[in-house]
Amino acid sequence: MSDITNAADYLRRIIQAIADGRIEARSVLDMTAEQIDEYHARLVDEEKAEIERGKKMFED
Amino acid sequence: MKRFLTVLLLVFVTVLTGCDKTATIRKTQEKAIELRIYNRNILKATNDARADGTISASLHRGVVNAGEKFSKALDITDQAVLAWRQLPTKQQQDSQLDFIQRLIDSDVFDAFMDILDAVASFPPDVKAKIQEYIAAAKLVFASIRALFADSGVVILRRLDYV
Repeated sequence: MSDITNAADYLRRIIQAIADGRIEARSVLDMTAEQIDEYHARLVDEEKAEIERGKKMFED
Repeated sequence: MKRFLTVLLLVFVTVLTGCDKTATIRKTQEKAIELRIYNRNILKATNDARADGTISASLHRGVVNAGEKFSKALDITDQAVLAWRQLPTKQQQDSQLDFIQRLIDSDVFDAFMDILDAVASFPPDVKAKIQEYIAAAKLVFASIRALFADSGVVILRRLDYV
């Protein structure tokens, strides 16, 4: 498959995933630097929380 | 007059190059944020699948460990981006940008490959859900590759074989 066909396939799947609500359709491009920092910090917290949740499940 | 125009051209090129690097750093930071969105989503879907009993403990452990490695690699990238902003000279900034590109090409991308390996044995329904996040992350890597295309760093060639 060519790069262009691959890219088109990815885009189609992503657009479908956004339409289905499976992917967060939020762009950081239209945020101010302050909003990006705030969003970034929240995202890191959520990501680390999922890692901790996963590790806790190892123990259970 | 000729000398004035030469100086003006040099100033223009210097300013333009500086702006270009600042934009590259900003876009790199944005791309790292996007990768975190997908890592969080992959981890959440994996934890939920384990909680439902859909995947085994060993499959779950593989993804969580790979996701943690990916997260740590992105932490280092964030710190490197912050450090770039503090550097006083253009030479130091260029060197730091080169370091950031190599970091993404090695640690960040290697951790992403570990996630791909870890989800390879997932049951089809869970895998289908995670594949959307993986496809989105691959697009981010592709855009990073395009962003750094002119820098001379051979970056993310392995993505072609995924």
